[in-house]
Amino acid sequence: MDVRGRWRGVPGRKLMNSAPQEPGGDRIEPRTVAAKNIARGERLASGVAGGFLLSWMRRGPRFLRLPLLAGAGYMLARALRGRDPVAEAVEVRRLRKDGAGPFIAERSVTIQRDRDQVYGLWRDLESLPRWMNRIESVRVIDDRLSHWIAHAPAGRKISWDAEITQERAPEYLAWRSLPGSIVDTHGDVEFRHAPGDRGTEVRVRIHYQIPGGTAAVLLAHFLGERPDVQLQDDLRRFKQLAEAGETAVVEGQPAGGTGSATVFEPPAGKGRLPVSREAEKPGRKVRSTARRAAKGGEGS
Amino acid sequence: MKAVCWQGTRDVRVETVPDPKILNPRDAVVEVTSTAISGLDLHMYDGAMPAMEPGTILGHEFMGKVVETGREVKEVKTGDRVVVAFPIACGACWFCRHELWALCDNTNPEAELAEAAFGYAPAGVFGSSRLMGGYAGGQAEYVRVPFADIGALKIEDDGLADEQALFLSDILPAGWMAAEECGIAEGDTVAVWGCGPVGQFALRSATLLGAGRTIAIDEVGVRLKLAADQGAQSMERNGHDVVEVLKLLTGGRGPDACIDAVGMEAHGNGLAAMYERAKQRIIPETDRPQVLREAIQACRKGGTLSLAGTYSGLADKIPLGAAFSKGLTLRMGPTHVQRYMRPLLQRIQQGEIDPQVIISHRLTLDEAPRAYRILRDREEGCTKVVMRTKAGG
Repeated sequence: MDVRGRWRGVPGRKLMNSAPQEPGGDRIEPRTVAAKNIARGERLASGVAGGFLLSWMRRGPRFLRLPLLAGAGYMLARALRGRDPVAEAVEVRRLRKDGAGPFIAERSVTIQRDRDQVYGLWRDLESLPRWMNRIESVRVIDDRLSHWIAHAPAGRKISWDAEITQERAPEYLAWRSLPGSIVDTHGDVEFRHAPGDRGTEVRVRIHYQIPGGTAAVLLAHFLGERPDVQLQDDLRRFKQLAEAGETAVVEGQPAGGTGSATVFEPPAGKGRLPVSREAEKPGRKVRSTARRAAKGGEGS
Repeated sequence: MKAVCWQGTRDVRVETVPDPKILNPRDAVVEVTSTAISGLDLHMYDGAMPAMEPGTILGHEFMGKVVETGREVKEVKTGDRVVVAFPIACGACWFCRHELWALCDNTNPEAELAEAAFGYAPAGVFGSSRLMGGYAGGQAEYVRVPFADIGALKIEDDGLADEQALFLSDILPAGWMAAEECGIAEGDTVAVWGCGPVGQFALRSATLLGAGRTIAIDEVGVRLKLAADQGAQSMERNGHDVVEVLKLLTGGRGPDACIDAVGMEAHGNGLAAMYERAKQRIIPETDRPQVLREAIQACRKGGTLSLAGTYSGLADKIPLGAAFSKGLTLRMGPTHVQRYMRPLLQRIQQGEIDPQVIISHRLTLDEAPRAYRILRDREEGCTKVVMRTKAGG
């Protein structure tokens, strides 16, 4: 897949510490109000500082008590929540006023199917939620117009109307949200014959801009989680559906407990479980391995 | 049902877990009768596999009876006796159409993770780490088999014992492919490092493919004897300069093809081996490539190196200059099992290959923790463990 997704972040204070960085990408990390915005060391230091301020408050002169209490509260809030309340407030205000974005993602994928088939699958808008993770439903109004409902954070939903602005079946499709929508988005997709019986190359560009207003705070988080990765995931599912007829899943399969599950005891005399010692200190090294790999998955 | 679950380094337990269900239209559920422990399982047991999730049901060599099928499963029917290929393949993508089954584009639900590690994601496999999709495995009483029409081979011959067919799931095709990739010409000399099950099958396959001489290299006497019984010249590794001895044995030319059937967990001697072990302890993603280094040195000019042993991470100090200067061909990769199951089943039925010879231990599923331990520590002359479930009798 072509990795050309890129952030055009808004200038200002960096709000996320562990910036997901992809090799070769010149991205500026996403700015989301929900992310933790201070490092772990800093959190610890804030906690210690808050403790000191509290103990000074009890011993120090009376006129200093209120400022010290405020200072301690600020420090402890930083330590406990992993976020700086001041920076957060500034960020929320900025988002309300200016909105966020533009977020731009561009990816491509090759699908071992005829262009007509691939185009047809894409053009069947009402079936898009089968592979677009964050879209709950699409209702086609007419040839041009459709109504979109998407999952937003905290179980909320957002919706908007979109129109197809250009269509050249089976090679090109462009769309945009109608003016005044809660999210300002436009995008296009190109379908090309891949050389040498390799099916169809699908190349997608999506552009989001979040206008100001209360919703911006919510949406910045929603759309701010690496739209290029989200797009790639969606395209992967699209390809799986187009080629294999289903998407690969493991959710719902059985697994052993993580330490607390019922352990089957072998019948007496048939050999003891050789895990008695290690079992008490469950594979720490290995978990950290898993975590490292998971981090790798975020491109760090 | 009962299942063998990975809970950490050297910690596998037989636990009671929910039965698997059909999750996708092309799934089937198989009631397992026989299952085996492989070298890859030992990598996980030793904690050398990145991105392992505690609770993962292990096992990618298994066979049994189909008990349920999804609505899009056409070939496989309830009641069929099947052996299942360890790579999960969709059958429709470019890779499947070119018989590169283990590289299927569409079966890794954690493709993003694998793409970060490898650039592109290989196929999902049963009973392994999240890098390989995190599918539950077949060391269990039941297992869900995605894309059953592609991965499950029906065994029509009821007279054929489980133990004859079981290894079609992984190690027999692995050994065969390792030999096939050597491009053996009539009379070639083929050296095989590692005389575990894959190595044994590679030796046998090399002979069937026309090799004039096979040389088996290992440290364990039992394994070398097994190789010698099958007609290979065997060579004890301990205390010998492998490269020098191979020169002596081949009239100074070096083997025409070298097969590494050991992989990332190579046991070596001396300082280099200690360095590799220390490094692997610090960075679990690191492979220990001593065998690869030896094979590159030993191989004749213009020869072929075929890697059958699993590598999953990083390796350093590979003598690339030697490989380049000698114009070696390097072949490697996970086994495209589906490509070989049918022809190899025929060879078994014709008596050309007797897979049973490698089995040293026949245990029950309940004895899995002990089975892993003795296989890993090579106790009791352990070369290969087959476990029967209750359904397997």
